[in-house]
Amino acid sequence: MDILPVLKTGKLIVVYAPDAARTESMTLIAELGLRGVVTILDGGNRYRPYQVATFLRRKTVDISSAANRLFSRRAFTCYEMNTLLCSTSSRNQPCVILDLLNTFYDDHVPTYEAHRLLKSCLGQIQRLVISGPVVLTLAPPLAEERAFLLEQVCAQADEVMIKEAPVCGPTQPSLF
Amino acid sequence: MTEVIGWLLDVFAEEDGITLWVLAEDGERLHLRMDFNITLYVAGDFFLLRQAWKYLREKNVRLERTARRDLFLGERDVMAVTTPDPANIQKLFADLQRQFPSLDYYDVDIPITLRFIAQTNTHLLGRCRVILNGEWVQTIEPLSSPWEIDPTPMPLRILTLAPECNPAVRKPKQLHVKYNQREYSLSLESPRPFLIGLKADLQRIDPDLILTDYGDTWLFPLLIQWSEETGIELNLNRDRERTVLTRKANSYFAYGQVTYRGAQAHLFGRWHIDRKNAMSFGEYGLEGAMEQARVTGIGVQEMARKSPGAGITAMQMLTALRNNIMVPLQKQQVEGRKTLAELIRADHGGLIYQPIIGLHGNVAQIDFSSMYPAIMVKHNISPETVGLEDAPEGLIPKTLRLLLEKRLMLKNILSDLDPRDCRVEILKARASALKWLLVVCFGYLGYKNARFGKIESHEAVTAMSRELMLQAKEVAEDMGFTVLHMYVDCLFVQQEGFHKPSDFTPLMNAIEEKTGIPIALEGVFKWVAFLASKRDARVPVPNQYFGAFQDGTLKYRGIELRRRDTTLWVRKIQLKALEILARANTPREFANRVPDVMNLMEDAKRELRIGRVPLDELVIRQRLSQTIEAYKTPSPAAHAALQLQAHGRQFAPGQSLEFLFARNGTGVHAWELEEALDSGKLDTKRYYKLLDRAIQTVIDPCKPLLMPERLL
Repeated sequence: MDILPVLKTGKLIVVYAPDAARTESMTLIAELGLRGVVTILDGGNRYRPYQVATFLRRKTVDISSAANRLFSRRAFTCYEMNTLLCSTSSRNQPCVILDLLNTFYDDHVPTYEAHRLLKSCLGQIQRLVISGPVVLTLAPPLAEERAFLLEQVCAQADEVMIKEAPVCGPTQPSLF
Repeated sequence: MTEVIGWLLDVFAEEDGITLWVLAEDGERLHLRMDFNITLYVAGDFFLLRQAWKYLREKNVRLERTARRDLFLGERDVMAVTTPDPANIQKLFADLQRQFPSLDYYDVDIPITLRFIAQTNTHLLGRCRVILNGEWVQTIEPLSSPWEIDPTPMPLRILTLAPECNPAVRKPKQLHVKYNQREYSLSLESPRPFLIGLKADLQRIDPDLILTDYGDTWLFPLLIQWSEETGIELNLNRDRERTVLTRKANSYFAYGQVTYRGAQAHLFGRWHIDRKNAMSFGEYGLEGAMEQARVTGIGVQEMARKSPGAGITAMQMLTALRNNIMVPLQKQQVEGRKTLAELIRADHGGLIYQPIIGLHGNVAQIDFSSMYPAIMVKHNISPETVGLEDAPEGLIPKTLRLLLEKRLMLKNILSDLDPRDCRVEILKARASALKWLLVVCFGYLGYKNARFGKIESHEAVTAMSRELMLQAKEVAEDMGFTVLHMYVDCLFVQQEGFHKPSDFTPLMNAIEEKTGIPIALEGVFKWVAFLASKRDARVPVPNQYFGAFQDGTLKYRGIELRRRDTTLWVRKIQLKALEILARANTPREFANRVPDVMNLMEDAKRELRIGRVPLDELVIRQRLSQTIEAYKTPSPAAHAALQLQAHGRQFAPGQSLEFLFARNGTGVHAWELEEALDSGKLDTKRYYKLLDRAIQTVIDPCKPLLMPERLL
């Protein structure tokens, strides 16, 4: 899954995968970090700084320059995610939002609240898209009742990339 | 006007104020009433506030524009909504929020007990003086403090009700009743005489506390059902106008695992605690639950069932109320921007200095006492003060200071008491209850649902702890000690010729002076073994050790004995093995005792083979981490659940299952099945493996000592 070539200002790319594209998103962040400043908003505790640092190290010896261009913030509730997006200023630089819906799947949050907050978040994402490319990763909902949130986000995307879960092929049972 | 002195038992909301139950000094149980207004605050967009004002004007509330303090945002213009109807505050708020979801709400879900304590300074279970006009409270004043070390004991009447077996396994035939020294049984065969008997007992004894086994999940629902069926009125409350408050069972994710909490039955005017459905009751009992209720302000029957996290949240709310800080419904403070390098530096836990694998003689373990809370208090770490110079004392240190002091004082008293002293058990329970509150207070700085948390303050505590541990290590090494292992807040140190506790006093004084955090000697081990990874013998495993103190007492962490899913049989044998090894005074003597341990193991296996081990000692207990249907490859617990499901039982994630390893299709036999397992079908080989593993754990560390010298 190569996300980098499709990035463009004014474009919202949604990547949907069972693991919220854990590895692909870290590679993307590292690649973007080599090119310039990146904003990372983490909604599902998906950001793996050591993994990104390892990717960077493979590509450059000047790891600290790239590391100082990657700015991250984490949200642990959907209220925080909303605040996070509202307080992120529009800049001409890419923004990667990791596992946006994770906190919205929390069953302690009433459905109407999740719906209201997501609407507000999507408005903020639209604002960010105007000034720079936005990549958003999503994971499937824990309960079917929250699947509508996924649809809402995908409906707003310019491109949705889906990574299917690997299907295990038949394996030869061992004889001994 | 009359004056009453007594203990405050219970407080709950009514539609026209609150009800208080007081246990008077003369033994009378008083039902009192008090006018009580409740205020919630609303802030946000002015236009919306105006709309909310118009919406509320029609309701029975007083509206006022005022300024109140938000912990993070400072003074805010808010609309104060005051109602004289505490019982319906949640309904009022729910209506308002549905109409105006984007406004910020404060002080909407504070328990009534906390509001009462903040307003009157009279705490639950504390002594108070009440001036009454009829049953209406005119004034109430505290006569004690929750921070008293030795509170006057309440003369509680406790009625214990317990069936003779687990109702989930078999239908009980008897209910054991205990009051004071008297014990008897009531037959459950026929509902009518049973209800008449129990009702008579309740009227005669008039208990303050009904302590049950399976009361929440079995007894109370059964009593309500039988009462309806027979027409015999049975109100378990002391407050006659109330019915039993029931709450549904639920599963939730906490502390890294799915936990199941059964249905609950709460009483008014007296307490009901189900020992089988109370989170930490097994650990610190009634004394501990009462201590937590005393300091947190949450009622006893609530606190017994809730996690310590709920207690610490309540304490923070109380501090906020007392300091005129509004309690937000939702925390909205977010993490500041960090670069990759900053995140890598900041986002760490406590310091772990890997242990030196193997057996070591004369090792002292020294622990920082309540290290994280002590850091928060000493260094003023609170969500609103983190990163600020010379900030006034933050909300979290303010909340923890007295709690920390009380726990340290209780610990000091305990260390001075003879272990046979009758006060020891009670003090231990109270100290343990306070310890759990302190343990969780750190996590709540970073917990997503904490009201007053911020990830940076959480990181600041661990950063400070790592610094202090390094300071302690440097002090120890400067004084000639070898540091064998460090784990978050404790150090294991050793020096040739040092073996008495007093030998380590200068070190502890030096560490305490350097770090400013109290430190205590856990003890001096005659020998201690730090274990290697089972996968790679070269890799040490932190916090996995066992050792014997000089008085022969054992201490073990991270081994099979500590695991909940280890069978009682394996635990017993491993403990016996450790007791054999504890007779050794040096690592060399330890090695000499290994043959005795091997004999013990062989004897145990023989006992199992000939069927002399009771089956209940072989039961394995495991938790269901998800619904049974969600398992792709069912775990043993899921197999056991499937067997019981075939007999009509239902299971929710977080519930524990008991089973035996058996030689049948699934490899398990659910313990709660009606038909007992034929002992010939027991999978003894599987149990041998479990035992081998447990024994291997305890003898592995002396392997180098057992090797012939020529091989070394």
